[in-house]
Amino acid sequence: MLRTGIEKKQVKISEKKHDAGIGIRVAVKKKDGFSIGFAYLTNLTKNAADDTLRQALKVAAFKKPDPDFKSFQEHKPTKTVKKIYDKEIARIEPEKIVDLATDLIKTVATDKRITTISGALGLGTVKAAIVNSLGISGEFEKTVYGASGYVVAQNKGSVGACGDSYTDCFFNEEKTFNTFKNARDLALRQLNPKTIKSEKMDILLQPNALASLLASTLIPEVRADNIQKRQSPFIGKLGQVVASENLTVIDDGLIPQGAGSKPFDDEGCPTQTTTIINKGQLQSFLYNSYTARKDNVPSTGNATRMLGGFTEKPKYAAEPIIGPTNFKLCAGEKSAEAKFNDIISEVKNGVIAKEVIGAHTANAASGEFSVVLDTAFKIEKGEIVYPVKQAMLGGNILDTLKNVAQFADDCKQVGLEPALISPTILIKDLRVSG
Amino acid sequence: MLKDLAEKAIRLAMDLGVEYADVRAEQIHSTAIRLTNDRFEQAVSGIDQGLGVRVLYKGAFGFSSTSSLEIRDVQAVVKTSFKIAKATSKGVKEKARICLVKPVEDHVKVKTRQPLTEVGIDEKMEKVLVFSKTTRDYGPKIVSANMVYEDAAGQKVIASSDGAKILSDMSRLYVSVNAVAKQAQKLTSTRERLGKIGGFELFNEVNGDEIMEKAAERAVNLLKAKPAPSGRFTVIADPRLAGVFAHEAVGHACEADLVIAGESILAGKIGKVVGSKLVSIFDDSTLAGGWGNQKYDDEGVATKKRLLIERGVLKGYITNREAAAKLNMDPNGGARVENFSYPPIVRMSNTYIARGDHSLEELLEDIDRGVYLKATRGGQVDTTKGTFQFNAEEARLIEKGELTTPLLDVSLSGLTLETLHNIDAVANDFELNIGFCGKGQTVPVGDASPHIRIKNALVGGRA
Repeated sequence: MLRTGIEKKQVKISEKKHDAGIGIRVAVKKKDGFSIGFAYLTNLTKNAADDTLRQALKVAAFKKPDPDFKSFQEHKPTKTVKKIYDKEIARIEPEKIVDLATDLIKTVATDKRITTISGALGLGTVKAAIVNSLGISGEFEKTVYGASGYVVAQNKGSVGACGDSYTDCFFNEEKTFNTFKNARDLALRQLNPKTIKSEKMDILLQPNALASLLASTLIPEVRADNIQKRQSPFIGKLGQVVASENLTVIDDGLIPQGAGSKPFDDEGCPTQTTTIINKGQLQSFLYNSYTARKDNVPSTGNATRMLGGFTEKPKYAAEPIIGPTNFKLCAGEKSAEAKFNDIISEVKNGVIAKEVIGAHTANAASGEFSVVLDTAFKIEKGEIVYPVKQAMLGGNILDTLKNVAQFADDCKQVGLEPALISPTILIKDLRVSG
Repeated sequence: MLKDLAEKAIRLAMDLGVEYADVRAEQIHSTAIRLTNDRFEQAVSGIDQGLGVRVLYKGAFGFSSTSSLEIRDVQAVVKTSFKIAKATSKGVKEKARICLVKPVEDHVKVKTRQPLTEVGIDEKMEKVLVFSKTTRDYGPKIVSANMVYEDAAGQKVIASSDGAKILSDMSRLYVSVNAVAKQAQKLTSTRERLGKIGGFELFNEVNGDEIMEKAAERAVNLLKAKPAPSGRFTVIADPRLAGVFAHEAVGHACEADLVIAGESILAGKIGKVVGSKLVSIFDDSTLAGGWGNQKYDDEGVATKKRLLIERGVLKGYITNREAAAKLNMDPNGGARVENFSYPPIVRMSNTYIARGDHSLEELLEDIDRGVYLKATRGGQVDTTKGTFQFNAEEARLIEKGELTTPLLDVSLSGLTLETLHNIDAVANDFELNIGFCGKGQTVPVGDASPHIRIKNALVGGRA
């Protein structure tokens, strides 16, 4: 991974990391079922591997057999995923990224009111291999690229700040420039904000805001493990209407250039296109092999190796749980699609927010959340009228999804794995406190 | 061996003509356990090892790390670090400098009666199972317990080209419980944590089961809570929430790198009044029992107790060697890393609001209608704009000086400076908490505070 950081309008530091490891998972057959053990190594020697295997066996020896575990993922043919490897990224020298960062700063620092430009450009190559005793032996290589920019503008005591970011499997200068320019424009437009009245109004959430909000609400709530643990407001709602008919939610690991795309998941199961919510109706949860067997359905190819919690580890150092690949929001009906400007022009009283702050405080078990709308603008009679000082949006994700009304034409990709792919979405009649 | 490797890397870097180099090398045994109800979702252990080299060349930093401790890989990361510093130097306008300090050679030991590497993973798993059972046995309304156990033990070396050679023993462990209660359609959850810098003896020193029961009891009590009103109220924040406020809203704004970057509401305000006279705030890496303690920071600088705000006046920032050079201040040991694979940045340690002289009853007595906020599910802050938002775990309505109706899903948000000015009473109690802070890298931090009272605070509820 190569990363160049920008701080206070200048290139600050570049970093290059190399990390490699192996995780070993074992299933030990006991009298009344299997016990699973796991351990990992970063010192890639035979001796260390032997020690690691012994440690994994020790864990399995301690654990009670798990009656729900039948076997690891069986071999299934994978589909080809297009455009997840960018040869250019593999070749890019640090000088090129430093030059690009320098150009970005020049392009964005066009206004005296801009006091800070910071951010980072990052790119890297990921190699993954999974081998198991049931015949899985897969390997893939993919590239990732991400740009994030943060711009602060100050004028006569007022401060406007905005961050923007995007991710992709491919390097793209134009999108990088647009990300930084957008952060600049919005930071300038944030100057001299006003407070708003507490009332019900229409909300337009932009892709970054949706990525933050859904990462702590809808995404964990449609994971089959959380359903089976009875920690989701979607328990027992399969087949029911849980959202507006205008909303369709898809997890798709096969999207070309999708930052979360890959041929197989972190257990070796082929990735696929899974419709989670179809025109408002809950159709599927996201499964790995373990939870799928428990519900007697096929895995959706969503095994993801992550610990969860504060200190995240590399994939090789975690057992597979569940996570989305590319989590995509789209219009349930063609009629719910509209041009961005046309949506704005129809809003009588509302707010558009680029980002939300504090979504990680949401209660994923109940669906309750409360966030601050950030880089937000008031909309009155079809026009964006002024920046909003401080407004909060609170509610339950189930109520919120029921009010989804329209999808704009500004689709964007945010985050690495999972990646959220969505345009700006109009949600009607939500309570905002000013 | 780690020390030799680190010193070798420093020499190699200096031979390439860099102005400054520092190295962090680690070999850490780590364990992570996640248990939900009685199922182990993760029971993971391994040795995390590696080395990271940072160099300063022509005013630009380059950093490179590897998870291998083979000499040829170490040689390669030194070269890479130099190469990317050189590339970066072409984009640097204002050259970075490093504040030189008197080099320290030391071996920092951690007292452990039961070293974590001598306790088997099975014994650790057993402990977590018992805690889970205690939580679930509290009563039928507890529907689940999510347990987290983490430990890390090993050695870490910090070496720098100005002569620092510090070998530190590392040993810390941590348990958290998330208790979930349910009644009808209502789900509530609360969290409790325990941890220490030390060994497995923690569980002989602290009654862990009592802490688990407390989490369960709080989750069950929350079932009776009602939706909260929204609007401006006089609020009392309990030590946990107030500690998080000190960390999130004030501590981050005192991080010298954010000050320099123009991303702090407290930039340029040293010596100025930024809050009420009742407010004094410290960040202290040497606090007794502090979860964020570290004798030397990750640039090899001795840490200390840092005065940030004294009776409402901003007195200082948390600095590293680079920020100190730029701001013409002293480095005060504020550089930290998550692990060897990251370059050091300015971080907090244990951030706290100093005790006042009122009792909690005195804080309550003249409130006609207000909100009492207890603990937090977390929070976030915009240090540039000086805004913050925290969700309280529990809350109570305050009516005529008494704590009354329990409230659900209450958040507190506001402007940092306005809030600091609106603190009109600080209690004489104090509670130290353990937590983690994310700033691109996650590090363990402590926070602490007495109860504080804030006038005219923005409360968001759902009623």
